[in-house]
Amino acid sequence: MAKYPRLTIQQVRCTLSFSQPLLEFFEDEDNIFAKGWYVVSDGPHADGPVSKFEILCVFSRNFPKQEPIVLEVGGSLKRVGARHMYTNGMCCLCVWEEWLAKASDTSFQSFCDGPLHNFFLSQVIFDQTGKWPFDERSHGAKGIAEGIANTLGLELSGVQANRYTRALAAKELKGHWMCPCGSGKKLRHCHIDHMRLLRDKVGRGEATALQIRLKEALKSERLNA
Amino acid sequence: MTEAFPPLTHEAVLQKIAAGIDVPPEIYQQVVSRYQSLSGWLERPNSSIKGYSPYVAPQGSFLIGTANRPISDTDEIDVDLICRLSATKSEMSQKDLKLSVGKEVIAYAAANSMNHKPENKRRCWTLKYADQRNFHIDVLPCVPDAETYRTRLSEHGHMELADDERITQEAIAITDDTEAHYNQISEDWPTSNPLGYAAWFMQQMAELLRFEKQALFERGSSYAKVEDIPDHAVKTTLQKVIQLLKRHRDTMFADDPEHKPISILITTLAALSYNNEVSLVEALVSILENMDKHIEEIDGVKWVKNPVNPDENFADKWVEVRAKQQNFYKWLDAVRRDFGVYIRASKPASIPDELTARMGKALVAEIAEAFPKLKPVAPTILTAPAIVSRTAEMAEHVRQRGTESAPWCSEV
Repeated sequence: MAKYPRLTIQQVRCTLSFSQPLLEFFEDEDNIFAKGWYVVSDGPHADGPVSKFEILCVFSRNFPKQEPIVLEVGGSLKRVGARHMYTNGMCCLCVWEEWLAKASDTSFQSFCDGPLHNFFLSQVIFDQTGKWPFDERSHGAKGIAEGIANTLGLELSGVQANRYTRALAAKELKGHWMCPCGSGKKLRHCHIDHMRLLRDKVGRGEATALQIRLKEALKSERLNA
Repeated sequence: MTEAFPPLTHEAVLQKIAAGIDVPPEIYQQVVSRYQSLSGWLERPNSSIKGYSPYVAPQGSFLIGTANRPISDTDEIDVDLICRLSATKSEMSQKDLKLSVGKEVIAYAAANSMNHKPENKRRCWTLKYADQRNFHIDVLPCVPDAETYRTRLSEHGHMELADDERITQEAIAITDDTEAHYNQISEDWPTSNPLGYAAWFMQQMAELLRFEKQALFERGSSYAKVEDIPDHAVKTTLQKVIQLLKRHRDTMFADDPEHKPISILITTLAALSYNNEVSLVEALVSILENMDKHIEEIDGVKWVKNPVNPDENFADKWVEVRAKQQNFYKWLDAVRRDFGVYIRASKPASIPDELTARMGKALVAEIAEAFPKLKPVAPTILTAPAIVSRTAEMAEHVRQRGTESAPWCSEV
């Protein structure tokens, strides 16, 4: 994960004041808050903006290490899993670690132009067409596995995804390990070259975070079963 | 004949506002005639500095076409001129130059029965005119100093700039009565390059300048050739954006003008962020989104480099006076928000109150009065298919940028 200095309110203002002029910003020691209307806009248009959502955001100063919290507080989005909404109004923008691993730039600006913008645009498009324009992840651990598969550009089951991230998160690859693809062969006789390429593509930090997220989801699903 | 109005769009409204805050032709003419009159005086046969072939030229916002109409009739009109003598630093001291020019400036004021005696300021002479308007001209005495400027740029590793004659040949040595060598003949004079800066600025919008001149020519101007059209006869989108930004700044800091963001900062950051956009809205978006990206931080100090002398920091006062830095960012936030609400969150005819207050209520009311004459380009009632096509285009734009992201939910 790229290292960034602690997020400041000035940085948040510089990023959002023009594109989201109906948000107000304030701060405490640990977080920067944005409150007001999120505008879904394609720039100047005779009909005005496409849509607006009343939101409250909490951006940790430890961004992007800590995932931002975005709540839709106006009640215009149904608070159900099918809309990627929690009952408390929290929006599930994406599998955070997937975005961190996949995005070429994980700056705050990139987050605003990416997951934040895409979530509300997707909601408008879903209302219009019943489809998610940039796809959606399944709920729970399955969605994380899909995220890992998408990051790696592979088709993976949850178990395979876990094996892959474990290998990617390891300090070094050992040839005698079993290949995560599930062939039953040792890594050195199977996908060792491919794994090396993947390790270049996905940082160890991101792989570790994805693995922890997946493990937690699997654990919580087992407990709830 | 009634004036032909363009269709009602954000662009058309902002163009009207930009035209409304521009310096009116009568003030422009007054400025030109006053500086030509001064120039004529300095060159007259019995002028004591005639032998030095005095050259008087505007500098600053009047030169680069970013001056605004005063907010009210009693507001100041500041015009900055250089008065360059064909002399060298080895033949006179800074004081000699300052007083030689001053003697003629004082004589000019007397000959023209001006009520106020010209004021001797730190670097310039100020001529005050007894108009109903608060009109004054700052005259900056100077001598050519291209060689020192070029050498200094080379010594500091700015080779490309040092080799750019359009910029270096305009460099000047100026006077400053707080300098140690003010009274003595010395090579150590302060340097400046306002005309070199203007050359850089014009270069930033050269393509659009050509475009606007061609457009003026095709509309049927009085000029025989496109090449004959002077720069001041046309106005580019960059100049208009800077005028809008400066007007916003001036009204926002009407009660605290001392600490307002300075024009050279706004102009430089805007010019650096400009990408030859023809449309005023597009240029405004590009500039507002990117202005602060050209502010560097060197050893904890904010820097806005003078593009024609990178060792000069236009934001140097921010270190001593924190309010200046705070006010710059406060203004940047406000100007982004005020134009953002209009461009991104409003219909063309709904100019938000904040922007109206910043651009001038009377002006906006005048433009609003013209609205009934304007024809909307699209139906004002939202239709589902229209929105679907807009959002589909937005989604396509995301795909083209490769920044897709899929929503998830941790709960099964």
